[in-house]
Amino acid sequence: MNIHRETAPPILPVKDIHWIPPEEIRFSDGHKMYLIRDDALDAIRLDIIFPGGVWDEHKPLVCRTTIDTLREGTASRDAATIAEIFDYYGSYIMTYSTRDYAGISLYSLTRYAHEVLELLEDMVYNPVFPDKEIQTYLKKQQQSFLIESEKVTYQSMSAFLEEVFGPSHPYGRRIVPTHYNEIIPEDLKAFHHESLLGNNRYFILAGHVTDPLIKDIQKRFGKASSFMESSGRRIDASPIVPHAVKRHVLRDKAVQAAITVGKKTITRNHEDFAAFSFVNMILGGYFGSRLMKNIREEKGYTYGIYSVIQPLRYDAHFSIRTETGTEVCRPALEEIYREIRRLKEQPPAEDEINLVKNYLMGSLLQSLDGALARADMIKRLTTTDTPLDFPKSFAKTIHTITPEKIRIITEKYFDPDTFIEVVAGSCVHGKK
Amino acid sequence: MIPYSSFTLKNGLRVLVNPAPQTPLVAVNILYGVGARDEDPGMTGFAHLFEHLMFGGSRHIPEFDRPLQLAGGENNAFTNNDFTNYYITIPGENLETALWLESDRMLEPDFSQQTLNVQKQVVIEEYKQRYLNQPYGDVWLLLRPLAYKKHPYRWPTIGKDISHIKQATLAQVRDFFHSHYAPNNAFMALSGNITHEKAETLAGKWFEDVPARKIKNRNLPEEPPQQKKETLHVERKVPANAIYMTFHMGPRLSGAFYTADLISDILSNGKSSRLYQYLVQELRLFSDIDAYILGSIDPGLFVISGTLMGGTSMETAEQAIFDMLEQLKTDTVQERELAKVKNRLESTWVFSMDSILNKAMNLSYFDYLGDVSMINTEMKRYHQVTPGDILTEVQNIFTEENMSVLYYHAV
Repeated sequence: MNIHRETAPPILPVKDIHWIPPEEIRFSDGHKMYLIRDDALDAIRLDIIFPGGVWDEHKPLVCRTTIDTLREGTASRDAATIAEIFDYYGSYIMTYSTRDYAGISLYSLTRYAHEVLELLEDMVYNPVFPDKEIQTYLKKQQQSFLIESEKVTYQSMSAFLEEVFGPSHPYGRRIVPTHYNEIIPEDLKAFHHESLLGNNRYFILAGHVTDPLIKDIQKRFGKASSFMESSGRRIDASPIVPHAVKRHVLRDKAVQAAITVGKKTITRNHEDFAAFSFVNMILGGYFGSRLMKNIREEKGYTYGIYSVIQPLRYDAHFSIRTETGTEVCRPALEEIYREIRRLKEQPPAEDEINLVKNYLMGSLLQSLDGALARADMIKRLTTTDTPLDFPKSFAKTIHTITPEKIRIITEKYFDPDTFIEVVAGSCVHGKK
Repeated sequence: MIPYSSFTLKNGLRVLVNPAPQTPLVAVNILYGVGARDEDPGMTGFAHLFEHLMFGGSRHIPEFDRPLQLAGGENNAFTNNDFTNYYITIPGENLETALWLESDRMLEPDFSQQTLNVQKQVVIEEYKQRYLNQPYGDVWLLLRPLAYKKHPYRWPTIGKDISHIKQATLAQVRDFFHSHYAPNNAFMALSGNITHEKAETLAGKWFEDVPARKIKNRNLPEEPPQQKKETLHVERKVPANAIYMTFHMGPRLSGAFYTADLISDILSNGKSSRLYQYLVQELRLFSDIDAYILGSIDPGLFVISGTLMGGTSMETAEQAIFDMLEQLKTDTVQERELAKVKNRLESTWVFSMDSILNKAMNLSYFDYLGDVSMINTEMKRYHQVTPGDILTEVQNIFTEENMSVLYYHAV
């Protein structure tokens, strides 16, 4: 066959992201469930989301410990029994807790879903938080924390968040090892009663959804609870005035330093969010980004460098993150600032804009492929109070973005003098 | 059942097709039958370094990533001891972009001194990031040569010594390509928005003129049976003591493989597993403990690793694990326990096969193993394992002379 390898095959831009907001049903007591159907999958995933998170805590780690230890025993079953039943049915329970919410994911084969739902109900409504199991859990967590906090990436990121939000803010507050010694079962019982069962929890069901399954979930989890709805945020989060600061966390003998350069930014609900994401993409949001090209692919200073936007419920931060050899840390930092300045000095030309447009549309399509991916998107949107048509409006902004808009966003959000810089590990001082 | 079809081009390229019309995307996976085990002991880390170089442009195309990103595609790659795997997911209408790029680098990557210099540095930073600058990051640099004395599994994919990467020359790298990369040593799978007919047309169009090459014969030294327990003590600045034990086990295509995999699940898959329930929850000797198999094609390793709670001595930890293994020899596994680990395997499989990329990767992998139909028979193989098989295998594997232990002391 006669082919011309020098010439790229024609490219069709992604026009439709195939996003349909999910079905929503309401239980008789008002709780909401989102449904994403995929009959080809022989399994389901049920998420229960409990809004509140760290905002509802009276002590650090209470939220995480409560959600993680629901499985440690109920009024009628001990931890080993619960574990054995879930395992027997090939079911997986994952608990998670972020700053804004806690949650449980139940993964189950369709044919065993009813069996494990009964167990899940027991865990959610009747946990007893037995002392011995809680102490074991806390010791294990403390040890993992000690290992994690040895890493320069952890040290850099936690110091960065502390600078961005302040040391007493729920988003900036640090965990220290002694926090693990201060939790008692009463804290967990209270948090379970007031926050988990008290707040407006909701459900996301994905996979092979049948009517009997929906009915079963509704019967078990749609019980009207006698608790009052939570009053919401308990901690006054006074916004921090943006400030540029440089901070160095010393670490001897680390062969690489972890760099975090960033600042507080806008949430998904801000009108600039999609355009901001676009500029972030150009800077460091993908493998072809300016930062990656310069600092990895041209200079070889690092295995990888990215800039990441982290939208939270009430706020957001964004940061450039990398690990570099200590001897190239200083030049890497200089190149990071050079690339931030270059956004303004050498704004993206048409071909770069076009590239990022196409790539972003493709990656949006990928992030929505399959029932579980869609359920993840719904989780991301609902936990940050974002409307469910967000993917469509996001795609529209990306599709129609102009060089002028990019210029405005760069001016407004990418002034290098407003960035916070944290380095963990040794960064040899150069000429600068 | 995962529906698939297959064909072979004249140059030997295998093509596997799995149509999944509900997705707008296609996953393109190409597995090359070359891994760290195919490296010269004096030039280790080459398969992985080469994976980096495959992204440096090719004969007719100056850049790999850019055209792919322009087409809305994502890609990455990984190297292990047995093979190197490249993958792309892309909107179905732009599939040809992926095939154009992959076929051109199969034809010939662009070997420039500049690309080699930069990627050598990137790999060295990767080595520091993953192996030196993480607590316990160097474990596999230590364990492999402890457990293997002859077989090339004795070095990890990053290489035995990072100086091999530092010294790599353009001529060596070029030679590595010509002796391992070829359509007749590649297994391509397409999964997603694709039909068999379309796959035939497009694979023919882009790959047919890539010449078959003479692949270096694989003639690997067999690992002789271990004769005595091997031990190694190291001291590192980490927060807690840890222990790592390995036992030699059967190759990927033996029945023993499935049995060993289930044994590792009985020991540590899920919170009801034996090691977790007894050593973590009840005796509180470990903060975490894991048993798993490496899954390699040649005879592999059964691994048990645990992080010790403060106050647990190394001797106590080792004895406790060994006692649990001994118990498997006397206390026959019950049907319910075996059914449990089989159910868990099945649900893991069902969830992972929901992804077109995982399906494409598995099709390539099983075809490389020699029988693509394994993608639909794997679960059956696991279901056939009996408590008697478990007993036999436990007696085979868990002996003192088959064991290597790494004691990782926190200082």
